[in-house]
Amino acid sequence: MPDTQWPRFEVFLIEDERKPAEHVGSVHAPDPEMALLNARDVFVRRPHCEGLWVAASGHVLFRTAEELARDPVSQNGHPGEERRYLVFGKPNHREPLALAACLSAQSPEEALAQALKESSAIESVLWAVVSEAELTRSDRNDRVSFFEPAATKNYKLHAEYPTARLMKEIRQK
Amino acid sequence: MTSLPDEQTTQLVAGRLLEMADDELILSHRNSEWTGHAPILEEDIAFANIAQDEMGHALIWYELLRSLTGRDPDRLVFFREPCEYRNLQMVELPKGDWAFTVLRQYLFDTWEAGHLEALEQSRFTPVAEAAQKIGKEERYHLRHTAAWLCRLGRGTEESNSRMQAALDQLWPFHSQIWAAPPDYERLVTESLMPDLARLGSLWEDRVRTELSEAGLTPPGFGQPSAPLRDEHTEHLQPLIEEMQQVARLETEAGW
Amino acid sequence: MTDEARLEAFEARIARGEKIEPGDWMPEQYRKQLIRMISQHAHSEIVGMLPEGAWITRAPTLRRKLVLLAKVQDEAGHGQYLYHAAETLGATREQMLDDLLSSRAKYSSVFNYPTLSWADIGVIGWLVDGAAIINQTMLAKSSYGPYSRAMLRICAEETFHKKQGQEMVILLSQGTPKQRAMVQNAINRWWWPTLMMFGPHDSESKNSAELMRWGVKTRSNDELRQVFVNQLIPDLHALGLSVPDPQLRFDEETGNWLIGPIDWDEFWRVVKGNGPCNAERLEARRQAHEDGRWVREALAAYAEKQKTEGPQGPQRPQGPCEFARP
Repeated sequence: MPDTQWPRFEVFLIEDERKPAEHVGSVHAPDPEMALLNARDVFVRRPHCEGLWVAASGHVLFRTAEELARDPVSQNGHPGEERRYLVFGKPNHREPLALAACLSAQSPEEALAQALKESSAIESVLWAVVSEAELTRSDRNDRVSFFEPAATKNYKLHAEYPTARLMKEIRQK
Repeated sequence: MTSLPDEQTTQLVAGRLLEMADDELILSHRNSEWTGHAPILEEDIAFANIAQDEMGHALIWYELLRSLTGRDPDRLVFFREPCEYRNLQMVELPKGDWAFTVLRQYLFDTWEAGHLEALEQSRFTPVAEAAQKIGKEERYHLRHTAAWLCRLGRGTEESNSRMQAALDQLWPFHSQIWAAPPDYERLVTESLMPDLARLGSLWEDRVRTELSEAGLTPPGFGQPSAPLRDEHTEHLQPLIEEMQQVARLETEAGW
Repeated sequence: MTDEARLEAFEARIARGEKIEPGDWMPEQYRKQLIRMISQHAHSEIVGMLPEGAWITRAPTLRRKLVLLAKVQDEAGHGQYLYHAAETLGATREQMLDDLLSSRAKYSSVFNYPTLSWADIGVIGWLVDGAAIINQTMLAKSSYGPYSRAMLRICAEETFHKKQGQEMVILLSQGTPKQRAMVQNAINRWWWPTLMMFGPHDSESKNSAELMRWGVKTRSNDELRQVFVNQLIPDLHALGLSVPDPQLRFDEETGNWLIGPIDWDEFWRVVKGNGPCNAERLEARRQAHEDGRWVREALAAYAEKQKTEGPQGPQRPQGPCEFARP
């Protein structure tokens, strides 16, 4: 039997409630619950985080600005039932791929087309679209056990190691 | 209350803290042996997190012990003989396969969940506060281990039979978890520490239900009576020797 | 558009400092080079867990234990970020791991040397991670977006690795005679393998030119090696430690510390799989992979059952959706 490393789930992280969710990477997991737990262990080894969302990679549509220029999305690609979609945009190569719009559409392509039309002023080098129904999210009640512990593990922070001061003291001796 | 009434109570609380600290330390040691060898990369990261948390919990209890007895945590860990360790036999057993590791962790995490909740009610504030802090992390561990329990229990025939074998191997050790040290009763009467026998029976009910949901059955046999905390299996001595070998190269120097 | 025109547009984007994103057009050779390089880098992280991981159970204080556990965990995390970056190019983790375990893929040779004492842990942190940071800081400017982002994340965390190692070396160098001897011995063994981490001389590096043209790398192997040597030597000397290089000298004119010749025969011997620990490292990875197979299969089977038979076991209701907005 060929090896399985399990499917991939895309991970979106809310660093701070005042900031939009950002795409941070992916994890391998057998199912959404394990994906959420894995996302916590992979991406919240250090502060700061207040929320996590995961969605199976196959349910997240990624499009780059170059792809869109080559092959514009059609408004009515594969119509299905009306759902809420989250659209993430990355304004430039420095800023994160962050939540930019939340709208109703019949397909991720349609959601992206709408977002492009409505926010034509927004430049983005990369887009991601996911249906809200495909997300598994950390719960408010999970916060204490999911995210607070990272803040107490200060031995992982480089500022805890006063190497520059130690070297200076030794040189002075 | 922030200080204990008399020397005898202090010694009793200290004795129990040492048991709790040693449990966390030795389990963390066994779990850390998986680092780099877990079944998948994400779990390597997750399990190293659990091992770190447990090491952190051990430190919290050892520090509290220091505040009562003045004993330095590192001296206590690296310069004590194996027979002076007070951990459960269950946590010193070799790490085994992944099923054994998950099942042991599940038994320990479910015990801790109830135990810590009860410790939060301690009249001795430092214990209550430490339990609250540790409880945050333990809640997460339990969610993680419970997810593993039901998946391995109900995954494939092989995973189920490995989990059952692990349970058969671990169950005989389970009653030691709520065995109380001598004179512990006094701490219960004074609401400093929880009633372990009561917690033990709640725990066993919970565990039996959840194990059965995962398709697992505890064996009908067990130890006739729980061993004392100063009795160990043959596996502790080599573990301690390995743990202490670097520290003992220079006994008075800093590391 | 012809491929030539595409290539021209692609190279113009890189020249403008733009990042290439996963769906963008890219030359096949760029994709291939990146997958090779990123997966090698990921493999280095997970193989790199082994020599240090072996000392977690022997760490001599509770704090050092915690720190080492966290460091080795970070390495797994870094491997995870890097495999993700390679996956955005179409590589699968199954394939990448198979390449590693069947010896088709390479990883950093430095991890094929043994860790013989506790002091090695400090020296690896300061020297090996220090060297890695120099390389990774450059790669954070790489033209491929996901690789560059993985590197930024990794660099931020690796500073802790380097500093905890340096702190240990400082402590041991100022410790008892036995501790000083231990740390000097570790430096003697790790010095040359660390310098080799930067790769062959520019003139011998067959991939370098292409990687530099496409902005994957922005500085040459020799340049980076020199940055590292200049950083390390004054600090080591201040601690009363030395490196095993009789030809080492300070060049007043350039301000560089010049090193003697590197034993490239040894380098190639280890790269080709004949270093002191190559077989052992791969065997450990293979063992973990095989031991974990039934576990991965069981969870995949459970997920499949949940899909077809509906959810089993306790359900967790989803709370109300809370959207964090700009």
